[in-house]
Amino acid sequence: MKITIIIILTIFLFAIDGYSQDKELYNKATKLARDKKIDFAFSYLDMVVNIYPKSRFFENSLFSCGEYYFISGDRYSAKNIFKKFIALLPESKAKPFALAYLLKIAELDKKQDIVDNLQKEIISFKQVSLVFRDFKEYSYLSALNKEYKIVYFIDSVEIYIDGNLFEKIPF
Amino acid sequence: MGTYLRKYLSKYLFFIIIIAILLILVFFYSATSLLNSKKVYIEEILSIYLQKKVAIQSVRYQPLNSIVLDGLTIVKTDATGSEQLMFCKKAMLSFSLIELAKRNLVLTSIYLNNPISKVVDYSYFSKNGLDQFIGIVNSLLINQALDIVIEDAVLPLYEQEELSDYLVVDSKIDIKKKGTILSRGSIVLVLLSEPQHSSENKLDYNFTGNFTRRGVVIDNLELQKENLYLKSWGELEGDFFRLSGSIFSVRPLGTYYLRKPKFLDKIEKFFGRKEKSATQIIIPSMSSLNIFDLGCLVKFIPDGVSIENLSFSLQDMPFRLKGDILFLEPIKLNLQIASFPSQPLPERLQNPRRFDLEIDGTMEDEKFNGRLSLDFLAKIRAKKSHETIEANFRNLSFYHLNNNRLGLNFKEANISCLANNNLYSILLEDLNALVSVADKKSLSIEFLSGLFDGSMKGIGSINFDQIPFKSNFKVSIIDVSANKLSSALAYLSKVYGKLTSEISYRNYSSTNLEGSLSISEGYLDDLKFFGWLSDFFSMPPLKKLNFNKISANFLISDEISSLKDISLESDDINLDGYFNILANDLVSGKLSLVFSEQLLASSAKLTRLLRILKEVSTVNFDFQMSGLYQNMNFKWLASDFKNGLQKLLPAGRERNLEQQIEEAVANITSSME
Repeated sequence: MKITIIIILTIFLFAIDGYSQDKELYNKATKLARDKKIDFAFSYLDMVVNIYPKSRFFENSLFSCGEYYFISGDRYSAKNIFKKFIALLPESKAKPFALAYLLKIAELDKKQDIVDNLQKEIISFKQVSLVFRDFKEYSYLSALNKEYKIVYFIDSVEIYIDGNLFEKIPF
Repeated sequence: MGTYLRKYLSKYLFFIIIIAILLILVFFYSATSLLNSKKVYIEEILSIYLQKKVAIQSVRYQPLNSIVLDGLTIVKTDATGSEQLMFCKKAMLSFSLIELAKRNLVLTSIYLNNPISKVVDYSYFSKNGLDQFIGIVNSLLINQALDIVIEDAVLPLYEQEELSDYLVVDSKIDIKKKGTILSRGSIVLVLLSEPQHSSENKLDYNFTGNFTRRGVVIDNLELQKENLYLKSWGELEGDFFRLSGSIFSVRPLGTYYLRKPKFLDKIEKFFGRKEKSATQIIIPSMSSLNIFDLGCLVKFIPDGVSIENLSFSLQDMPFRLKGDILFLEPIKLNLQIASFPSQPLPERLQNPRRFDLEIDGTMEDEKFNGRLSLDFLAKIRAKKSHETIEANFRNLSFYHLNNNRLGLNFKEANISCLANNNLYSILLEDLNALVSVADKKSLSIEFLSGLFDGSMKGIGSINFDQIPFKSNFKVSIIDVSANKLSSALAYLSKVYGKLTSEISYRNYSSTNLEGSLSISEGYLDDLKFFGWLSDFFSMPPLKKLNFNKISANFLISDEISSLKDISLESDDINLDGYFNILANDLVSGKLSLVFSEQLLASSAKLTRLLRILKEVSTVNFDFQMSGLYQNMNFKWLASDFKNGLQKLLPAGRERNLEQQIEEAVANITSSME
């Protein structure tokens, strides 16, 4: 009986410890991002992605790893990360922004057929009915402290990052 | 003395000549009389040789070594009675004088003048007919040479009371002692509708080969017509017929021979080696359709033929034909034609040039009853889809008119198309069509047909100059009940009224189908959109909406499917707008809906609302659609009514109304798949 209780307590302590560590890493990353130290922020986020794939912070961490690679100019790594993001997290509210990054990369790589498919995916991501409004918007705050906003008009979609237009897709 | 001698000799010479002539005449007459007295015997001998009953009107002797049979008739006798197979005005049989001197009757030549076939029996092209032919050949031609000349032989194309459509055959056949055959001749198609014999209907042939115990070896078979040249070789052995070769649509630019210099031939001949045959090179004209790598294997079966394999390449497309033709009553056909038949299945299914055509039915009284089925890969709006078009015909027949025109009609055709698991079908009745062959590279078609309870007529052309064939058509549909066409267009299942449409189609430079349609004096029966409007605004007349006219122009191409100038005119509602679907399945559209005062008066909700919105006199709804076809976005565009309503609604109620409309739109658009 005693041994059983000890075993259960040991497992519980380890679990709490594991849970705390990923949160601690993530919180460190977001603090560094707010202080504009994104390189250091990235290193902590990368640890969350690789060491704690089941963590609740995995989604935001993975997205921000892709963000970081894109900002750094490493389009190849960014593409791989965002593809992985979409495959593993198809229901994520950050999905349209991951698609937007992939669209931008495809445009820079001049791959028109990929551009067409990605535009179609972004357009059809949400079915909107505009009764008394002219648009609907959805926003997302990344772990690197960037504000994302997607605005659905009846004939176009606009994506903003920190208030700057990132992509516009007319249809 | 000399003069006297000459006079004396002339006198005697004169008498000798007279006597000789008299003797010859006596001999001729005697020979003819003798032959006529032996007519029955001659008939028996010929009957044994031909394995059919032979009758002759008269026999006469023709110097030096021939007998002429006038009015030769060949009759088939069986349990059901007798039937005349052939009548020949004049047949001449010549014999070897040398063998006659040895008291042997050896036939050296046969001449037939105007033999007329009295029956049309395609069962001769079956195993039984083939066995009979080989039996006759073997019994007639064992180790003997024979020349056969046939002039103006007549072969009817089908059973006719009075001869109108037939073939005229002229042929010279030279059979050598070792069984070698050389033959040349021509076949002319004579049609009542074309009394002037045209050179276009004449087919010349040239044949060399060898008879064997079990058939014929074909060393060379050439057929030539004005715009056709076939070069082939093969064999007929037992039950099997094999043929290989090529067909050119114009006479080759030239033929020339590759040979070694003649002095080498002479040296080889000196040493006793057989002279090698020349290698013939044919230079085809590449400006027209040509058939290469022709390979044919046909098996003669008891009641018909089985085409085990007929393969060829038409320009750069390989084809294969297989099937059976049974010469029974009715004639049964089952044929399959496929392009790219040897391509591995996964690639073949994705090949836009592959198709499979099947013909399965019967022919009786020159009418076809049966099924045509075509399976192919279609490309619609940049998407490929497997489609099958099937037509079931009742009493399909062709008939020849004049000036290169062919008539076509059928009693009924049920035509269906299976595409993406959706089945579309139409029923045509009493179709009559005229097909004209204008310049041998194209044909034009005019047709008129019943279509459900209305009619359809059209005109079009197909150009065969290249593959795929270029075609264009204009079709008019007149006064067909719209609802009956729902088997072809599912959206019409809730639309009632008389539909009229003008349609224009072409497949070059790209596929394009466009036109206009109008439906008059009908009603819309509980269309989902109007049903929702009816419930939302409590307007029961919208559930069954009577209209004076619905009209629209449409366009379907590889890039877009669009309905434009949409107009609905009714006492209750007026609607107009447009709707497009692009190749990537994205849509765009605008619709404007105006309710009549009469309709508004039927809705208590709207009546109350309009009393409050004093400045609003009309209720109109303008919509815009976009996004993916299966998941459309929707926007209610601005109007006086909308602005007035928005001012009235509290914020929470606005969100509630928005949500209701969102759900309705999602529901309606999902049902449009």
